[in-house]
Amino acid sequence: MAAALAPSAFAQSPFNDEAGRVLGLENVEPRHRGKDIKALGQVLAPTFVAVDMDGSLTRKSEFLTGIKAPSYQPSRAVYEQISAHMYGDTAVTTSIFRVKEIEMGKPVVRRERFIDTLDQRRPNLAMCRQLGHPDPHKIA
Amino acid sequence: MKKLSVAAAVFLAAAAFTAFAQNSADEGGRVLGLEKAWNHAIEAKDTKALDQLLAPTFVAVEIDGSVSSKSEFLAGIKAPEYQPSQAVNEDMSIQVYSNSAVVVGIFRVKGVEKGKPYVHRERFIDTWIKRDGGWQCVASSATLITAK
Repeated sequence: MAAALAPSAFAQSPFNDEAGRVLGLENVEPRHRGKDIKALGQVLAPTFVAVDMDGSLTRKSEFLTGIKAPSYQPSRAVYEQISAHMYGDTAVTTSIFRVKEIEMGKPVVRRERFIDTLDQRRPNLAMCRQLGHPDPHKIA
Repeated sequence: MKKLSVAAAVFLAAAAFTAFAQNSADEGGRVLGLEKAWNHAIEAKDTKALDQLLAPTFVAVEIDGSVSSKSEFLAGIKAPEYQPSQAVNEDMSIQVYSNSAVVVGIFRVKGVEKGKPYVHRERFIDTWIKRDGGWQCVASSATLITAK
């Protein structure tokens, strides 16, 4: 089963099926914007790993620390497009994540392509991984 | 009698856990073996072997952020200008979640593209799904390592 939603449809999705529930969990914008570490901590599995844009690997605790850091100040984080494919209890989502933030005093917009794997048998559909890719068109 | 029942329950739970851990280790070993087979297939440009390893719904995110389907990925491997001489994984770790597995590793590839030699080190994450007794990769993502 595959589901793909444009941002406007995503916001209105009733999330009444498994793919919809997964896509709902992927909507981390309020959590990122509010730097809600507690909410993020509940979504991410203890074994969560993320690969940053420079290829470095971070574990769950390091990832949450990075979000919490005073230097990380996202003003807006949205999904431009997102799709989910269900394989039994496992969901694989692909998306482009766009985040506006202040970097060294300058506003930047970053676009990242990523793939997430989620296991719905774990509490709150624990996310197993996240991967960011740089977009060559970094807009100041 | 109650003590005996508790002891039996603990023994059974321990045996079940040991069996689960053993099974996960076996499945993990199988998937890591498939990762090696993948590298051999890339070196040999063996798209037939790759076709077996990748699920029909396979999706890849390349180091430039572009996304490709299974057919596009295989076409890229088959392309005459893609000439990898060596493809190895420097290290790999795996987490098995019942019928899915996530492999994280560093992929090093040497080759020549458009007449120019290159060596890439890429951090990859692959997601494998077990179906009908076999494992197939459903998603692969690679990021060029620039961090020191």
